[in-house]
Amino acid sequence: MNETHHEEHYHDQRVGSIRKFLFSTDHKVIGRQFLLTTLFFLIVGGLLALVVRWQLGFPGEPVPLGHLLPDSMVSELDDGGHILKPEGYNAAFTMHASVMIFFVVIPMLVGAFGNFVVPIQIGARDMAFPKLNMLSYWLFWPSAVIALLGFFLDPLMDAFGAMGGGWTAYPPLSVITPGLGINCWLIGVLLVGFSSLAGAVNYVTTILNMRAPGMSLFRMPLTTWAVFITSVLTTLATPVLTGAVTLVLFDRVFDTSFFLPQGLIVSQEMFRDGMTGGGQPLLFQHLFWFYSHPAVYIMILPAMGIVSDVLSTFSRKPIFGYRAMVFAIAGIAGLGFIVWGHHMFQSGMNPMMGTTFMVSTMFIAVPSAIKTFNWLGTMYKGQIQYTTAMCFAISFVSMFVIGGLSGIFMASTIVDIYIHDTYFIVAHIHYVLFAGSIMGAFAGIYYWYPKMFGRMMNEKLGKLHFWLTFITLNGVFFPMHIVGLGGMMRRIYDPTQYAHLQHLQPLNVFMTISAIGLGFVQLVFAVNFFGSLVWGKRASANPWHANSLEWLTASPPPMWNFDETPVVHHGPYEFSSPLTEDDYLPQTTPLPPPAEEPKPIPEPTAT
Amino acid sequence: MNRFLKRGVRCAAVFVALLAGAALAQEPLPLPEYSGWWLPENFSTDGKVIDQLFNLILVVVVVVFVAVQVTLVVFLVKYRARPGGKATYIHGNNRLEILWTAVPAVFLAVLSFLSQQGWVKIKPSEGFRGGESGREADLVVEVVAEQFAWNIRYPGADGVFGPRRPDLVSVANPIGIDREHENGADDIFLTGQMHVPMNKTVQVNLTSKDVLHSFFLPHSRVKQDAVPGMVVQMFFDVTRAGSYEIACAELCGNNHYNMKGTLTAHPTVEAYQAAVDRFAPAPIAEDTQ
Repeated sequence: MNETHHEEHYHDQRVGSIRKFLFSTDHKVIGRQFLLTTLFFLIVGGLLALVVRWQLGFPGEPVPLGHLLPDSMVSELDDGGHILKPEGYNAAFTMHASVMIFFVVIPMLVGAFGNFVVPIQIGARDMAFPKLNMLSYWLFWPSAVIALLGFFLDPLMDAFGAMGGGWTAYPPLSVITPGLGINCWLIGVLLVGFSSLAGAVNYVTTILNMRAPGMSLFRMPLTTWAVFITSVLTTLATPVLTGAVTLVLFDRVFDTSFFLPQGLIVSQEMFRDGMTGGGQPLLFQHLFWFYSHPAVYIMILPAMGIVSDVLSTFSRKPIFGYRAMVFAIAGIAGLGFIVWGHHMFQSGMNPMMGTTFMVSTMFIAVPSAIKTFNWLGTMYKGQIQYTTAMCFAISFVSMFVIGGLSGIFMASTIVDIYIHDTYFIVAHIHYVLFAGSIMGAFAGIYYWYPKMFGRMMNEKLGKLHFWLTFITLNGVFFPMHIVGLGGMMRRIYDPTQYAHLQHLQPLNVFMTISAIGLGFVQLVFAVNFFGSLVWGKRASANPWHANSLEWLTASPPPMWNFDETPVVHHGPYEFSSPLTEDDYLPQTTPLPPPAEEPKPIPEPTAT
Repeated sequence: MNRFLKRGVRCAAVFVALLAGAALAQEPLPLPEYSGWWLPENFSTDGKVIDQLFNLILVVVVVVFVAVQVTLVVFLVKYRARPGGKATYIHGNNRLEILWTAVPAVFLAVLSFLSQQGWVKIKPSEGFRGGESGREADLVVEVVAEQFAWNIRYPGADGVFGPRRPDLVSVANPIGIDREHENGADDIFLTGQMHVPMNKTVQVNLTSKDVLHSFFLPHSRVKQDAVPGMVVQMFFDVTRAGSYEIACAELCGNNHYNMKGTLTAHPTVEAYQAAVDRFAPAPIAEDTQ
């Protein structure tokens, strides 16, 4: 089982190279496609973030390389410089968030890692619905292109630039603002929802039906568990967003009034000559957050799974409290559906409902705490190997604590009165989504790169990338807490307009410089990622001496993943067992006849 | 940077000029001193409650944060891989799991309870969407937000607001006050400036004409979204005489960043009354009758 095979041996001769690399139904190819595509969009989203940061650090200063930005975003000065317009700023932060959420974090964690890793980890030959899987990837491109189309339409027509109403797209603003860019954004988000749904249905089916013999649910690695629970969340929550977005589109295109109240007056004129009414702006917020709060967990749970696998492997220790970890993921997912109202404490929602959502929100911190303590427990008395993947996983634990703890402030209804819609919230989401999800994704890339591409990444460059990213990310995101406490609102074009924010401007400058640094640092990663494809050392089947099934087949795995269907004898975290000579025990190797516990025959899979 | 400084000075100059204009002959009341990297100084009764809970949560959070990070670093150093070493085979510990489930749960329950005590006082749900007011207030002000201005209305001498009608809205009458109506004739209307007496509880009936806005007074720890089609009650007081900024905290369009207003807290009720009465409509209505 451990011997390496030549990939060529397994190539299906009937498949041409276009079918093989472009329109492939192989989950491994689709996983790699998702990874490369989302890394591309990470650059797009990152550059948009730098535009936002530039404006906040140096309001009104010409944007470097501003002539490359679309005319809808900048206005040209006499000396040839380009300064960002308020509508350009609004489009930049809106599209930054949309790109990062819909086209980077969700598809990277679920689409790339879920696709590549999950079928191999459960010992399946492919996903349950390979064609649906391909459709999921090929829906991704049109949705991304359409969502971003607004940036490029203005030379052709009056599209008023890309969507600038915030990624939350709250009506009435998203309805009354003219422009084709907003319609494009809505259609793009609608389509990417279908892409996620196609993926999610596939994961649920695959994980429930296609596990190898002996792979009971409680012998699955936590990455697979996380993707499974995430997919359940996606299938339940995404249709609600699709519905809400469709209704906004109807309000815009067909003059319906789902979210418009009576007597709306825009620029001292009756909007649509008074032909609105019966709609509720708050209804949209309920629908939106009913999806988008679970979406926060869709974006963090897979990273938690990845980090659990990495921590256990490189601590050479079983995961601490495996079942507690599974229940914590399930607990977060379950509670995740009843906390959405904490985004709406100050929205005009009845304060009595705020109480309910505060209590549920406070308690969602409990499973998060359980996970953190179990990660610490996993490292306790381990033999910690400082690989790059491990460094990213450790920093995930450390930084996630910041993101988790800062959440308690806004969970409290009264503290949220002050904190709401300030940079404190922006700091919080970035500690969860950048210092959490993206760092978790980096851990996953460094960990599974050998399996994906058959070569090792450079560890020295990896460490350099880690330290520089770690330092600069804290330089960008930690001061956001401070300016947030100072009262700096989100989504403002020019903070120097306010007397209470002027003394905080040096911090804004510092964050902007750090952000530029954070952007440049990723070049180290790009060099390592693409250079290793060519110059990397060839990877063995199991370079990290890990136990789960993906490490028991060649790197990269052959056409149908395994020469013969693996038979699983125990869980994936049997590191440093006193019964074995080695400090690891692959899942296909039976436990040696023990002194303590008698080994039961493989349990039947419970489905 | 030079450019930025100049811009700042210009902004400040314009701002001061605006303030001076607003107060006409009166001395402009000073803005608070803003400095330091922390919460701006609080000048309200509710804000004290909020800041207390903020500080309590901060203490809890810092303790947990330091404990976790120190543990992490100790583990990282102590349990680093050594040649020939083997990790201890531990699968978990149910007692520990129960402990670290229960302790955070208890802490969070206490924080919820404390938060709720403040919440029912600061934002009572009774009368939240109109009707019987949930709190005793010394004066009632109506705030109608629009892209990109704060419209303020006082009920005038009769103490009752006249009706607002969307069809009456014009550049001269941005919120459509019905001046023909007996209660509307004496309503006092201002844009971009609000006057209150200090140490009095102000009730604001908050709504919007067009899109969502959020009424934000950093120094009083006040924030409430203004929603079109819905009137929401909110309450605050100011415990120091002076001028303050009103900011919009909910994205409302291209000029969102510039949707500012001024709140002036007057030392006495008389000074407040005088300031507001300067904007009272001329009694033309009586003459024509």
